[in-house]
Amino acid sequence: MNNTEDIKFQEMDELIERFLRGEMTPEEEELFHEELKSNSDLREQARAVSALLKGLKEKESTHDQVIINEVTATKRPSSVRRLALWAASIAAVLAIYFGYSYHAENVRYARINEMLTPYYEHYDVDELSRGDTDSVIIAELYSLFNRIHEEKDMKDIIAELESIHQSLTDEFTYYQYDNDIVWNLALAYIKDDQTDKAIPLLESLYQDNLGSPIAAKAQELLKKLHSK
Amino acid sequence: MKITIPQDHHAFNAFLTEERPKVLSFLSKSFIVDDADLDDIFQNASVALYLNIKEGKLSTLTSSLSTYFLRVCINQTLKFLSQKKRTVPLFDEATVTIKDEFLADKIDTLYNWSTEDLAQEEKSYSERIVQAVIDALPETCRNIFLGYYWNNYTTSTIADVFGFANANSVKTQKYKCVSKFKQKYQELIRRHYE
Repeated sequence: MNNTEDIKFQEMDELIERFLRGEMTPEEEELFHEELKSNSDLREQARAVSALLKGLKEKESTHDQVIINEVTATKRPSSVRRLALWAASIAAVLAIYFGYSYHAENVRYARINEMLTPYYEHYDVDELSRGDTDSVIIAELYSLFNRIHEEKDMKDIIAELESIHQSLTDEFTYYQYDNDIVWNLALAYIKDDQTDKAIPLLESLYQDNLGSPIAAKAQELLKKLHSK
Repeated sequence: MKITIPQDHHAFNAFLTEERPKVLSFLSKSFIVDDADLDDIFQNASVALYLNIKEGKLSTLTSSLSTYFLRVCINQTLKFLSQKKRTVPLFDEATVTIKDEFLADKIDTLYNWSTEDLAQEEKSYSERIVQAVIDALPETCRNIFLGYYWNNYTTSTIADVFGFANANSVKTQKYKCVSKFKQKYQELIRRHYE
């Protein structure tokens, strides 16, 4: 992209942002709307920026609300609070037992995550430009892989990856990514405390790719799992 | 009585873990405070945020939670400096975020205007793939997009929070990242309808 085009796109960006921040007068907004209808470059830029903002706001506002709801959810009306105090006093012995189990689970999760940290990879959308037949499906696959690192609950991710893994034998959509699928499914199993399912996957990755970097990684992780 | 944040508030604690390096990076560049004191300031700000949420003060939050928390951290730092009888800098909070936010109704309007020429199915498809494209962008771009479009930070704040060299390098990188997003977004739509 040359300098003239750079300047053109920066000017379009500034115009779009003035509109989005409410800095235009009604007359300016009307002219802007008319310009969008006739200027395809401006329309495409506006479409991309507004889609990006919509997507960000949708995801992040939900994320913020989950956090706020988690903290406020502990609030109870006073009569229920009295009942809760009575129930808590009776449940004290059980709380010690379950508290230990809960603590043990947190310790397990922290230990597993620390072990897996060197093996997480970030999948970049740039790889889509190598001419894949259905890039949107691959973009969603990459998103799934990245979630293994970012999220704690693996249940949904495992269900989706298992379905994709099963389809590898008779569908060609994912065949270029079979090693990544197997590798990431193994990581998800380990993170979900299903090491018995991860080990056969890692062993097959090692055997099928002898001498390659993925085989070395699989072998290294297998050694760590067997030494636990 | 010392207030502690319950350990079973996983989402809240994960939020604090994620915000910590960004906030400390910003505070260390904006104020003269040593690392041990920054740890105390962050801890106090975390408790302050927790209590504010519990008391319902965030029921009508108008900014992102990250932006709100950064402001809490700034206020805690100024309070700390004042209590230690150190010189309290004249800190202009207007330098942290841009005065006018991106308005939700304007975003919707612009999206509708710029997709007037699309069939409904294509419009729905375009909306479905946005998150996949964002999630698969390099971390640099995701940080800039979150900082600029969601947290409404100024480019100098983004530089301080995310460790860029300066505001100009954020501007340059933002332009490249928007171009990258647009390119991939359009490419996926085009491939789907080929």
